[in-house]
Amino acid sequence: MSKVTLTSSDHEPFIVDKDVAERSVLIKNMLEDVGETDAPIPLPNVNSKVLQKVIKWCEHHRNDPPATAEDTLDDRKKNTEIEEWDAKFMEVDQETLFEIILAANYLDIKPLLDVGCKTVANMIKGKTPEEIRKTFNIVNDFTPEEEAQIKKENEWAEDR
Amino acid sequence: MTFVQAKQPIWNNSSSASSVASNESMDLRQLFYVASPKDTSSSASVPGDETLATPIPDDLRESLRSHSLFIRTQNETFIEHVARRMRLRQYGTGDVIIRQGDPSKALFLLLRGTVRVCSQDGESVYAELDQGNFFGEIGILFSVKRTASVIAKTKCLTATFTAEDLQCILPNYPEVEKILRYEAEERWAMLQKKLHGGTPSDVTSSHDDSLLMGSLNDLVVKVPLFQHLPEDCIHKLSVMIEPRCYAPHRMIVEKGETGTEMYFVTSGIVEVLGEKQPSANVTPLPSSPTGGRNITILSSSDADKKQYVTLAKVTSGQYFGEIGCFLDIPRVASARAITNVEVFVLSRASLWSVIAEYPEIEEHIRDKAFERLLSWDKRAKLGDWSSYTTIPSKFTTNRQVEGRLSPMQIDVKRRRSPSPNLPESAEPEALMSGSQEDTLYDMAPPSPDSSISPRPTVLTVKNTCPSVDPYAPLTPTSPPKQSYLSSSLSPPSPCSSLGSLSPAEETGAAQSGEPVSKLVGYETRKRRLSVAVWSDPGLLQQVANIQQKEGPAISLLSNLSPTGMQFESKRHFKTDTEEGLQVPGKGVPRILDLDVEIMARIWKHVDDIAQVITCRAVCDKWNSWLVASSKISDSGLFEKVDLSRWNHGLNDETFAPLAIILGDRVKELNLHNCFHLTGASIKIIARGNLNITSLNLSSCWEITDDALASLAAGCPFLDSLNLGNCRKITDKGIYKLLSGLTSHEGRTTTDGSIPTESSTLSDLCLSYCKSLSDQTMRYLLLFACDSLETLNIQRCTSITDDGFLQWASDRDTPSFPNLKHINLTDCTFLTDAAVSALAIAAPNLETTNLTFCCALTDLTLETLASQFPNLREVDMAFCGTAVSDSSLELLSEGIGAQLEALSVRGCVGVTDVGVKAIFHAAVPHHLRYLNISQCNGVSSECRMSLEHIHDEEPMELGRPVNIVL
Repeated sequence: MSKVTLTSSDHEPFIVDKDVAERSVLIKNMLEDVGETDAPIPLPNVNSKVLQKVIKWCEHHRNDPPATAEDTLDDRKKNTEIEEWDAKFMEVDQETLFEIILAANYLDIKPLLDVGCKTVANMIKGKTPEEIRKTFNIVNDFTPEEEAQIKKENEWAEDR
Repeated sequence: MTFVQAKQPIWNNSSSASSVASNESMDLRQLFYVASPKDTSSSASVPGDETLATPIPDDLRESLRSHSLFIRTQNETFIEHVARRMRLRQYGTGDVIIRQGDPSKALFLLLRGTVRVCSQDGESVYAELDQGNFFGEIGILFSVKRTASVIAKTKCLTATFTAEDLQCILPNYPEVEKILRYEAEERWAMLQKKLHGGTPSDVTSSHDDSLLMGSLNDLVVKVPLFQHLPEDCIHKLSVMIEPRCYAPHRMIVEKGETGTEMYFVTSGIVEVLGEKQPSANVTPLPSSPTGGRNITILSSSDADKKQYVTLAKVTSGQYFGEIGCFLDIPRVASARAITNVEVFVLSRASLWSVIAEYPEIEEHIRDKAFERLLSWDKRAKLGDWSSYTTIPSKFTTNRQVEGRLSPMQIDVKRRRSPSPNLPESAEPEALMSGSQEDTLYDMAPPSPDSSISPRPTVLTVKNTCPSVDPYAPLTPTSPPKQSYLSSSLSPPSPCSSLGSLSPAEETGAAQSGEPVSKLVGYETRKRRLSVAVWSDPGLLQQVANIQQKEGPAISLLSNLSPTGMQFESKRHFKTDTEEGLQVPGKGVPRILDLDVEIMARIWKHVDDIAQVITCRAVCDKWNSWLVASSKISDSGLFEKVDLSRWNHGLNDETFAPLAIILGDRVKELNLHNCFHLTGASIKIIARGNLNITSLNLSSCWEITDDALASLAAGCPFLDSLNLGNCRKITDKGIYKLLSGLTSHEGRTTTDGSIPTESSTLSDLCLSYCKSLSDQTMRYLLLFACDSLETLNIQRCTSITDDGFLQWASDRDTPSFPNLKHINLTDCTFLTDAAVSALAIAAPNLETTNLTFCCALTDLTLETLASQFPNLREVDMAFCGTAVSDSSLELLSEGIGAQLEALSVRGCVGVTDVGVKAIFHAAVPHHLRYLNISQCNGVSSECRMSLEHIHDEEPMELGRPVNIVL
């Protein structure tokens, strides 16, 4: 099994199996372009903490079948079912969660991106706007008029 | 529609015209068939006809030569060849040239006159074509029936070619074939796109009937950037282009947002806007070391209170947005529709997907794009918009320009000039001064800067920085291509180095010293990510070494660029100026740092429409993302919307804003039981959403016939419609719906062809619409006979045998060849005659539900057993005397081997004999459901034996068999 060296933004090298690294479509394409190389691949947008997490995920999912027809599958499973292992994996602080999502997006690891998005979706579910703001530390930047207008437009949604 | 005979040849050259007529040996009848509708072909209506042999009148030759189809070929022998093959036809005003629904046999060149492309009845005109155009080519090339009619508006002269003619001629002239095929593909693509939407929610539907008749190709070629591209490439671009409409005052492009599209205006007027900057909000930044001059940037708080100044106007035939599309920079100005505007949109992703196939063009495009950018830059400085378009009088002083354009120019300059890479030449100084807008504008009239011509400036980059350019080692010869590529690919290092951790940039900064470190502070954009990887000179050097060992096969860069581009276009991070000072790597990522694409994914996973809409109230950013429909339309968010859970809260008042938010993103909408909604809401759906394919309005019982009319007008792609329990609907409404949907088919037709001739409606539920009568059945026959696959008329008790008998008027050809599922539950008055008629009209039925059709007899089962070769499921519960042992035996013999489900629930005539017959015939094959409950004639022994089967057999059968006892 050939190895690949990935370098995080803080210059920490990670040596991983090629098939693990290739869970990232970005890296996969890159390796295809470059061919066999021992040169470390710099990932200046991912720090070592996050890269370590991402690699852990990729290792656990190294044998997953390639996500063909991913979208239809998505539709069937729908919403927010998350595998147990993934759910546990995602038990991290918000900062790390968003970093993982951004890294998954950057590295083009769609299943990981989806797990991340589902996790955030679950945090949004069932919450009022105020609770959502609180959860994610978002500042309410509406004028009172705007807020009233939106509230009025959303009235139907409160009635179940 | 009267078919007026053309009396006089339009042909002027009378001598040749007569010789033409006398020499003619072609089959007139065939010619006539080619062009005329079958149902008007009385002998009196044969239009005038001229066909051509030798000699070819000069007049005609000239017409052909200048015809849009051939003007690009200029191949004399071809023209000659064509002229000999074609048949001339002339038409008087009002003559029908093509009739919707007829088979397509010929291609028409319009040599003289004007024609109208219109609906079958001639009532609505979709387009007018002038001479020099051609029509009918899609029908020929795609082998589809005519789906719009073409009527002569004036006297017309056409030249026609049959498919055979074309097959004879074209192989010899591949270049013409290519033009024809390209044009057809472009029209076809445009047609499909028009049909399948992508139209913003505020589009006025009255507007989109107008069609651009000129070729897309011509439009694309007008762009200087594309002028020298090869034919193939232009074609591919043309196919990618999408039509879109904007209502007046609608913002098309916002300054500062990431530009991913360029726009070709086909009708209407667009104004290019700069932002008027209240001087108090202009923030002077610390002076830069190079010149001690000030740079102004927009402070983000101004964004909400923008004042616009018109810089220029763009009208039909012109384009805008190209800079943002070609270069990954924020929009340099805003653009707003003044009138209703139709544009063709070319997205960056499309562009690059094409360009990626033509590496040599990449250079050209980038080259030109930079020139455009620089000339925009220059114009902005000089206040000279004359070369762009007319300048409104408002735009006068340089002073005004200053605040508006400076930020962009700063950006531009930096992008263009990777200053850390510039050694101690005079160039950096000049470049820097270029970016110090204040100073520049203070000198009126400008401009010392204009002396820097765009091209050399860019070249400077390459020539002066070999030592630092990470790509240099890879391409020792350093042709311009690579230099452009690199200057664009490596995201202008200085500007993106704010907070970036790339070693390359650090190195660069260290080497070039001062300027960059200061400039860094002003940068408001995040770096582009994918490229970052390649800015490590160490890695690239290593790669270069590998490559040298292997021999310089292909340049690594050209090899890499498509991938790089892909990532750029797909995963650029938001370049939101307001958020711009937050940089990856610095600060803690918050949920607001996720870009719109990721948020759309998250919202999609929330999977609760009310909850997602509620997110609007969280903050302004989320609100604008959720409301601005086009921006997240790719994500599939809001594609399927089920509002039936909120039926109590939804009324016309609350639905209206929701419908506007959802816009045209919804394809499947479920409003089941939203009984407060009336026609007003339906009209909003119809106006705002062209794309809807599936609509469930069951139990929205306030809906009236008028609402159906508007639905038909606004939702041409309606495929599935549920009107169950909409009791106010009458036959008239069904007529409006079906005829309206049908007439859409020609709506976007440019040439009289489209694949289907009836409506697209395949699934229609009219259950419990008790006012509907046999008239409705007639309308179904008239307008939906080809498309209908599923029909539910449960408890439409006013529909009688006569309705079905109408369907069966033609004994030889089934009227509803595609009808597979029919539900006639509770149609208690239907008799065997209706089922027999159904067998003629819809022999391909697969499932049928006749529950409670108490008037049926044994004959019905006989018909079912023998007349429907594909029948799989039969529900005859409570059909009284219709189901007997003998009829079940017949059914078993006929379709037992294919039967998958059968219910004879409550059929008292059934005994053990009938059950066993079915059982032995069907269980070994495909049966998975059998219902014999409440069949009092079936003995308990029989039931017990079945129960046994029920428990044991399935294992052997390999499928579960559900037997309801």
